[in-house]
Amino acid sequence: MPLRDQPVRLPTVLCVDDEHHVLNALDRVLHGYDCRVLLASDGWDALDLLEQEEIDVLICDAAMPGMDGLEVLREATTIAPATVRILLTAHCSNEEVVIPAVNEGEIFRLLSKPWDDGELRRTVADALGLEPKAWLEQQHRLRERDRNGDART
Amino acid sequence: MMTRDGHIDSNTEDRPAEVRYDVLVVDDSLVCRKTIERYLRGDEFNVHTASSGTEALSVVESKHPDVILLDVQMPQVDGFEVCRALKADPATRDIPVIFVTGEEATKQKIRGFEAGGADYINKSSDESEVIARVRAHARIGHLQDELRRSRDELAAQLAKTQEHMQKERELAKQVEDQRLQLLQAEKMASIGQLAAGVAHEINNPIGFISSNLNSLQKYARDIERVLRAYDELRCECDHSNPGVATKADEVKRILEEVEIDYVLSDLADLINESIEGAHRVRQIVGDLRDFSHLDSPDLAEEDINQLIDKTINVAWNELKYKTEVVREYGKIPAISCYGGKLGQVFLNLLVNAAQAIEKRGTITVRTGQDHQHIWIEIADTGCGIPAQQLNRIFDPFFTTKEVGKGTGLGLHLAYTIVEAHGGRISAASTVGKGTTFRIQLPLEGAPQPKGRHHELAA
Repeated sequence: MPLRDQPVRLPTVLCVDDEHHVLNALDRVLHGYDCRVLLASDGWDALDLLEQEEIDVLICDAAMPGMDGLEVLREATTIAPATVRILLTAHCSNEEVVIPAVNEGEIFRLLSKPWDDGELRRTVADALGLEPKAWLEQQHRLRERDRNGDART
Repeated sequence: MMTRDGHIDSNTEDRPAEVRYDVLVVDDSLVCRKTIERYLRGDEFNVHTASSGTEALSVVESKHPDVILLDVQMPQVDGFEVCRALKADPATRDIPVIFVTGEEATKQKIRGFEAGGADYINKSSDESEVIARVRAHARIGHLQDELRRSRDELAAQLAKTQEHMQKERELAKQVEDQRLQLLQAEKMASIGQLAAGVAHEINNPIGFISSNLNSLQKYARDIERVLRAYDELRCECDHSNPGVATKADEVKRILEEVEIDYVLSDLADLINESIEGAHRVRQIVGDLRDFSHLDSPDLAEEDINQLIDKTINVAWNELKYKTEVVREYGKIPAISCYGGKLGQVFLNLLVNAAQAIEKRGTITVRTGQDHQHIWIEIADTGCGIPAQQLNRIFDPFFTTKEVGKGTGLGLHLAYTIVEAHGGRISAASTVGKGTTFRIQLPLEGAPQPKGRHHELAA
């Protein structure tokens, strides 16, 4: 049975960063992989989305004006406890960022900026509980099928 | 006050009651000795006598008189000779000698003064004159003694004060030295903080630039694939259809106009080069951050070869234009050290090496290991250091750079840091050939700071 005909809910990844360029870049990294990507450029938007949408993975920047990433992660533990939380930060100071992120934000992984695209995809796959390899292969099958489907039309 | 022979002696009031002057009367004539002794009896003087020059010298030695009354004409050793002998001896030369002459001969008086006499009296002088002269010279002698004593005391005090001041100057220099070291350390720390802050800021844009370049690479490949497919389509389309043929020709013209083959092949290079450039920025920023993070005050295991590589990256801007950096690293174990501080040492040595090179030269960095140490050598082909300066280069504030260029603290700091690691730093140099700095660090690593032991023990 073709995968496309199944009414599957795509896993949803929410990226939070105050810099649009970062958000767009993350969107590009995950584009074409089997997930829906939502973007939020501040903490309040992020918390709104966490309340409204069913979000599987949250990738959150640390230093943001207004509400910082730690607060978003902390809030997320109560608003959307099932969401897997990942911190993506350029500030890797232990005292200020890493320790509170682990202890209070209960993060699943920490990624540092600049990030490695492959590592980021693998981390998202891990967070989704997918075998990264399987996820990528499934991706490949979907593309092949799309191509064949397009060819047929 | 006692009066003597009816004279009221007002001068005795200047003299403390307990002081009695010792007077030595030297005369070969008993009558003369007795006469003077009689004049000087009373509580003001202790009178000693000697009947010859030789005896006089031995009495002087035992009694240390305050004044000597010395007869000029004596058999064997005469008065002048006795006087000259007394004046030649440092122990007795300050005792005033009053010559006693039998006549008023000017020539004799002059001889007496030449021999070192202080005064003279005539054998026919009356009692009051004898007393007055003896007293005056005794007092002068006493005052001179006092003067000498207070002069000596003053000199001693002066020496003490000078010693004190010298100590204070040294202390002030030490304090100043420490203050400047602290300042330098603070400066380095704040530079480190600034660098770390800048590194963080760069990490954000370099994050999306790198990632976007990857996406762009993928898109470019996709676009190329699409283009190739369209081009195939163009070649195979129905040229008998005039509309299609015109369109196909126009596509061909555009493809040629933009030099599509060149664009497509260059696009790949362009993206690859940009990716490599972004990677290098990443590397530098990472090293810079590591370098400033190394500033933690704790001992940690560090791979010295890696540490030198990071330092070279950080200093690259200072090095790349004039120097070729040759790395001859040996296999050395990681050692426990203060990485940030050692990084500063390497940085100082590398920058100094580059500054020693005027136009173009080589900096060779070697590392290795012997029984108890690892060693690091940083050698340049620069101008070299003259031998007379070589033993001063680690002194604080010693600099050959022009004012404002160097604090004269760089090498001193290096010396202090290496010493804190239980290591040694030395330099060998030949003017015109270059300089080699060598650092030895103990294999067992830097000694634990003393304060920490106490903490652990507590």
